[in-house]
Amino acid sequence: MSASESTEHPAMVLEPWQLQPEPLRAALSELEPSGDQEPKRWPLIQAVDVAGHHDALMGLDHAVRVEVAGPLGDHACAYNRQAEVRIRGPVGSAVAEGMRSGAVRVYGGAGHGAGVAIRGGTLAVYGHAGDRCGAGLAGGEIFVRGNVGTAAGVGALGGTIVIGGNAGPGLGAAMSGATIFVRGTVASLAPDVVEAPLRERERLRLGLLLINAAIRGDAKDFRRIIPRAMFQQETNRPRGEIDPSWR
Amino acid sequence: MSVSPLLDEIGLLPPPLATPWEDGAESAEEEAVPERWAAAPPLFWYDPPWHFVPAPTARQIASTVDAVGIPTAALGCELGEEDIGDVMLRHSIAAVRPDRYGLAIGDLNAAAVVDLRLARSRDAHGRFAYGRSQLQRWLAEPTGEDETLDLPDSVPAPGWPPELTSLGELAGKFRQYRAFQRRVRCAVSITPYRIFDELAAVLEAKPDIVILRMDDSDEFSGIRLASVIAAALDVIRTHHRATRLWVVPPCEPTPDDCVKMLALGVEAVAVDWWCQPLINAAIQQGGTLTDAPAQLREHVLDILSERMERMVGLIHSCGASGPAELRPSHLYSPSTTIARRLGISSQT
Repeated sequence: MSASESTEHPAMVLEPWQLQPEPLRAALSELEPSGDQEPKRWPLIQAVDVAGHHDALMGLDHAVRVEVAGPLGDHACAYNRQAEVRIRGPVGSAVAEGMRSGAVRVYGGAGHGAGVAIRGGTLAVYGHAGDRCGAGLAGGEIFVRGNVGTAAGVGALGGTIVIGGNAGPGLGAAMSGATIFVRGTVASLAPDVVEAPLRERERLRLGLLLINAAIRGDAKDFRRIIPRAMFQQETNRPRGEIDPSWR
Repeated sequence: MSVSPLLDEIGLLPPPLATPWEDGAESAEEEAVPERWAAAPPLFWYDPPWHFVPAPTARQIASTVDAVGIPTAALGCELGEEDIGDVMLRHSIAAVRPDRYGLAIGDLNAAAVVDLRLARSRDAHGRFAYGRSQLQRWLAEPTGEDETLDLPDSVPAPGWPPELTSLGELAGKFRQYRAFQRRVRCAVSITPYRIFDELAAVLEAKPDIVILRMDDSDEFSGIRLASVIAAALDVIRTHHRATRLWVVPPCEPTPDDCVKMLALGVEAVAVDWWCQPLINAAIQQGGTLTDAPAQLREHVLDILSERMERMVGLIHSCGASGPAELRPSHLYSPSTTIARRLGISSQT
């Protein structure tokens, strides 16, 4: 927790029974609307004594910052929008499942299916993640500082997965449209994905993403894994290194 | 309408000879068919191909079938709606495929039934896969904005949720869905294969409904269909009696088939084939329906009422006032072997 947040008085403190969608909505409805303020000025909410709870903080659709002392169980922050959630401790499976926007930052490890079916927003895991991380990803970004298990990015249609450590076997299985950046070793690539050159525009983009996720490292240390069909498209239709529409 | 019956080897047992003259032949004209069912009709529309028609047309059809009381599978994105509760007020089924393409929180909040589909769909080429037009519909924003993802022609369809490592973890998914909506009924769709192992394991999670998906199982007709239903019900009675069985038959059922399945112990039967003409009509009209809402409702009733009326008549002829009163004893088979296997009456 940053120094500024540690001294900030929370606008609300959530009890364990308020972590479920219905009481959570009711509690947050009492907050003053935050309007167009910057995320760092959004109301701060703390959740206390919630360690080990499953299905916590699901369906959040408020411009708020939430600080949680974990660990949390399965499905934490599933189907969220807008909210910026920091979880201090590990989480179970399917963290941030189906998230549309906002961010979930996990200061610990994540179980299987982290970020499954995310459509937008950012999931950052500052530990290791289990198998099938980013399965069915259709937008947004997932960052894992450590290693990921088998079949990361399986069935991903879009979005970006950044892996700071090693990847297990079957990386990118059944993936189309998404991009994976990996820094460590890859046990094996799935048949229809390839390692593609990291071009200047991807290097720049990855550098920005790393800064945004507060992950140390140089973009040039990463390799780019994309679907074979996407690579062939790139090869057949070369575009200039400077392309204003790259992002 | 000339459809071969699926269950012609078993029959509905008429009442015994000494049954007095009853007032059971009320006119079909007296009441609109949906009102004849005390609860919702024991039917559902399992897998409507919404991407065959534009979202506004899909929305029109879905809301009209919903108004008739037939639970219908639909996601908000398939109907071009962010909140499906605005369109389908009573009976939507949220199909939760393991990939969750297109699934949104609004679907989980509004559905009467959340159906975790562990039985995969095939595409037109016979693969377990989704085509591009299907993916486009799932990924389109409700605002109607064009999808920006560069989608492939086909994507493999998974059969297992990525976050789960065993069937023992299914209960956690149901807990999640009930956290969104306390009264939602949690269902699991499975195939009729390996039911003694897989269904038993699924039932450990205590689902409210098991949907036996056989629309990809042509080999299950006649006695085989009845047998697999009876076997599934046996497993359910052994492991979690409160679970209800819904069935997607291998091909179009007749009203008589539906009543026979209900008598075997099934709670609801999929009638996708009965509803498909609504989609076909829209396609023939260039994707849009010119009917006003009232006319569309009449059209839906035209398509369904004859069959539903026959179901009502057959149920009453068994001496039951509704589908819940049907029992296997309302069925018979001339074969004592079959009768014993299905737990139904034998002619002898």
